[in-house]
Amino acid sequence: MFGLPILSLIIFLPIVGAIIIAIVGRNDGVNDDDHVPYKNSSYLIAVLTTFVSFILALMVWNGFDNSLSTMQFMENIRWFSDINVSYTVGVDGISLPFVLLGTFVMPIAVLFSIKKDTKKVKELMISLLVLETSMLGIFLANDLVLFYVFFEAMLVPVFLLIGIWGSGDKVKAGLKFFLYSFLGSLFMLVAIIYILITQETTNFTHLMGSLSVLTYKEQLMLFIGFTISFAVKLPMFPVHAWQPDAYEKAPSSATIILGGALKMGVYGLIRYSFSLFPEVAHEYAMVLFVLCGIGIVYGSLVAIAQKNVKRMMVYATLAHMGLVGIGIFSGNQQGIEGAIFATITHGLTAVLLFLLIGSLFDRFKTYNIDAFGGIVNQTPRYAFVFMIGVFASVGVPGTAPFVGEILTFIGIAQVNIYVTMIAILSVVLSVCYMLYMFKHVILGAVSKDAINALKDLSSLELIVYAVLVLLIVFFGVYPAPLLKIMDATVHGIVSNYLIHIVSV
Amino acid sequence: MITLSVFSPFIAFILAGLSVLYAPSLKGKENNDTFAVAITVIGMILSLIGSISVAYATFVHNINATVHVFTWISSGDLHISWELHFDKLTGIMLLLVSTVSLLVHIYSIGYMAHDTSRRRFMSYLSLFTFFMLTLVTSANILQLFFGWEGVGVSSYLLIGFWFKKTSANNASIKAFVVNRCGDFFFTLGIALIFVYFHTLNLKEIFTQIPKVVDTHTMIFGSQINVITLICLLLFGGAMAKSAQLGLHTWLADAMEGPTPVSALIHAATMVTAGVFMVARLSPLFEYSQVVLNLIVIIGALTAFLAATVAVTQYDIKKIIAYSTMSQLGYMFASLGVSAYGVGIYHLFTHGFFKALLFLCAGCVIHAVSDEQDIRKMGGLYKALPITYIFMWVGNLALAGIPPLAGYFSKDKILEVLWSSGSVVGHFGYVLGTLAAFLTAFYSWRLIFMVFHGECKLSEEEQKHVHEASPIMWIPLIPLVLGAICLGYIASSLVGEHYSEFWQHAIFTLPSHKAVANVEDIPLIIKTLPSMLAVLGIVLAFLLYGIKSNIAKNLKKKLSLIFALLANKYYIDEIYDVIFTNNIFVLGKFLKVTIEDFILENILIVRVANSISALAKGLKTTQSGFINHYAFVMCLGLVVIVSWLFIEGGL
Repeated sequence: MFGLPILSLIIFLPIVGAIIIAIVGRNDGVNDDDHVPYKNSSYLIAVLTTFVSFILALMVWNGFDNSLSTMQFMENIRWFSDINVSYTVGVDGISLPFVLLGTFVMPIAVLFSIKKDTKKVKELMISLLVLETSMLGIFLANDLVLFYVFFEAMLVPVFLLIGIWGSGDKVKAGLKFFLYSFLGSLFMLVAIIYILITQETTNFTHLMGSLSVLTYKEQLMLFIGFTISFAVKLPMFPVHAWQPDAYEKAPSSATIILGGALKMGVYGLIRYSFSLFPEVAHEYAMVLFVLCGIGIVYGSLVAIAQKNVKRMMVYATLAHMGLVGIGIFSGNQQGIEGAIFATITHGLTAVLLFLLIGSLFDRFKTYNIDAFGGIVNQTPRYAFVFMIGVFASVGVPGTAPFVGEILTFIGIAQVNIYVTMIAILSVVLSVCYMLYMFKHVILGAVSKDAINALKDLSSLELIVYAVLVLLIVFFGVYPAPLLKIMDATVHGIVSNYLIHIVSV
Repeated sequence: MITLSVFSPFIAFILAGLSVLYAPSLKGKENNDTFAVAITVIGMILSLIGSISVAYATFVHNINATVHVFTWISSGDLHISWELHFDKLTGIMLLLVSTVSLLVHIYSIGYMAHDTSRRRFMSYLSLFTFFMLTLVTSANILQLFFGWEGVGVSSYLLIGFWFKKTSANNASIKAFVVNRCGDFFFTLGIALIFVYFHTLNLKEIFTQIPKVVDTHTMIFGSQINVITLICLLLFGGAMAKSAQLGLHTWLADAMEGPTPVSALIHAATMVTAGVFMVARLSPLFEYSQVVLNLIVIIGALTAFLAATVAVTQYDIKKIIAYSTMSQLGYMFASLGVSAYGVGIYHLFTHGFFKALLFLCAGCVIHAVSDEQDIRKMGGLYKALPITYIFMWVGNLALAGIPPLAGYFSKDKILEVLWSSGSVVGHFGYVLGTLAAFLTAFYSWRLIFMVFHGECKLSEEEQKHVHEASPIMWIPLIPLVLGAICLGYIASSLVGEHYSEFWQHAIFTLPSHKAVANVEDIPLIIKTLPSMLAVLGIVLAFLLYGIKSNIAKNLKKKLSLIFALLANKYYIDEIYDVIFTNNIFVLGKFLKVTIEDFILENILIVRVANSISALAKGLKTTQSGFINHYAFVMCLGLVVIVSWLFIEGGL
């Protein structure tokens, strides 16, 4: 577009913003009554940067050709001269939805990142922007080494966000996140090095299909290497233990990025585990189905037992991601499109719900479900938005997550009926805890004096929530724009998958 | 016109809803909800006009058509559109839904007059109507499911309308959860339909049935015909929505909602969605005799058992709720003998007289200061003459006394059950006829306890007893007329021209002859239900109409049975023990053992400790492993990026 390297621009614009903030940004002017620290220059630069990134992403969407299954907007720059590793970025129907989601969520995360008592605003903004760069790099990289670099680079800002701006036992939570992710990704590093040595390239497009020259055993080992790393990120049972603490202790802005935008587990499983190793993915699909299925049931049951609202949402995420994993490895178009769609739309829903819960935490300094009750009496608009979030989360038709879920069900039903039953069980169980939570937090008579002091949505909240709600409903009724993006690409990897499993 | 019919309630909902969000609390300004009230009623009037014209087009001009709105979901070979389909089945449902909904809207203006949230109430009612209309006009099964879940959500919102009451909140959650259990089956059924038919469009499904009819699949170690499996799953969904035995527990609790809601949703429309769905999918169900038989058995058992429970209830609304369950059982029983038209006919007439009964109950409840226990009422006929007469009409229709509506439709069901000639059909007839007796008995038990005898209200409450305002009783007049005449007027739905009338909307295999043989049944079989109904009225009169202790003595003698019935066969308690409690226990167990102990204590704490021990042992850094690593990572990123730019010559 206009001859500009637009993808590199998207990736590195936030870093540029971060550098500018580092040079000219200031820490003062936060304690504004209206919550919105207009006067803080770091904040304003960060908001502006993330907005521009989002607009650039929309421009990519505008120039994106839905009918192609290959990478578009490719940029290729030689990186290491002696080994065949290059800086290659490109976007296709699988990465574009994640890029759009990521760049959409970031401005929201930045907007809601500051509270009255937030310390070190400048450093917070820098961390958020660095996180955005690494996130976009993950989704846009078309080279395994480059991907790995961004993948690891992401750990630092997330760790800092949790460890510095989090609450409660935040350093431990950050450590847990870091160690889990890091250990998981070591397996992937080994796999990438092995591919680099044997194939003499790490370019994703070249590797697609060419990895079948490796022996089945080699492919299996590589598959495991990649999948463990992504399973931690997804998260998949039983490597999810970092998630509840990390999400709970993280500040809202980081939680909505983690839970809403940073879906690299899903992305990686589709892009690498499934696309590069179709035979293994087919052979070992059952193992993953079982783990994801356990995730669904286990996550839902533990969510039911939670007294902590935010942790309840976290276990709900575990259940949702189990469903997504099942969709991916069903290996047909409905399943994979359903998985991506569900990821994106559950991402939007998660952003909405985590923001809502976060704003409660700011007032009450607790997530305990018994601390609330009767909020609707004082703040009906807030309650209304919350209600939409709950309905979306349980997949009521007409909200966007339903489309993803039904596609996933249809996808998996073509493969295995028992797994389908477990998958559908998620929608029964989700109602149990979500409505229970809704009742205890929002409905009922006013139970505490503190609730009487609540103010309804501020104008900033009103706008952001209205956008989220409208998007959730819009994609529930008319999901075509999003489905069209991924159609050709998913068709491509599914055909590739089918060729390989037939030949086995 | 069909677009007008479906979307005008939706637009009304949006406008009314926005007016609520714009100014959430009225703060004493009583009258500024006029806009929302007016807009929803106007929306319903437009919808009714649309419905009438659609019904006219389908009945008189025999039109079948589908209006394509736009594509909904398209993925691979799955294509689903938003479509509005209309044929005679849709025409009847549109007429019923729009009419009852409009009347309930008007009634609610009076009923909710003193509620500050009247706007919210009206907008929810319109939202419900929209979903119900999309349900009955859908041309594919996923849109049907959209409406299906949508009415479930509106039902949840309306049952829990008075959200300050814990009991209302619990009831609304129960309704949602039980319906989701049914949706589990429904969703699985939808997924399997796609697997075997490669489409979700109803018309395309029906044309492909011959190809699929002999397909079998293995499930849980046994071989089962695919169509049977799919029908079984879909019927599972219908059972929850239509409160059939096993998944019925939510309906009685749903009476926590305001009474107009009970009339519209839990009597006339939403709960009949299951019946409608089975009729709509009749081409599919026809090919599964097993499921059809099961439908008769479940339906007949529900009709009978719900009637027995109704006999022992004291809450005026719960009596009518169990009566609704019982009548839904009748409808299903008739579907099971392939008399789909008869089921829909009863659905139609029942919608009118049951809505009438609920709205009358609403007038009573209003009059007696929101008391719902009929033991505390009595002698109200003098104060509430209009309600009293209307209630009589409703009950006569319900009990099937000629020539009111129920006589035509309910007796027709019993006739087709008998004429089906099958064992299950006769089983259904026997239970249905007994239920007819019980129906008359509990209906007049209600009338005598509420309107006759001594008034047991406190002095204070007695002063307040008053007839409902005209805005509440005028909308009942069309319902009264419907309860009186509809059976006769609409009898062409099931008369001589049955197959001709239904030919494009409903499919019946030629071998299923219940409707064709209905004229050949013995006179005694035909008249027995009405005679038993009269007997039921007489018995109710003897027990409750005249002052006597027979009822009390009988209750003492049959105390065991009475307790069983009054506690609804303890099904709620059994479910609590088996499911509800265990799920919480299991969740806590998993949280404590796996989550907190294995994953947290053993894995993380131990591993973390050993790592920090290692780090200390190596004395690499004082600040700890992570910060060091973080620093290196940042540095690494900077180095790599700069290297890249230098190498790339940028």
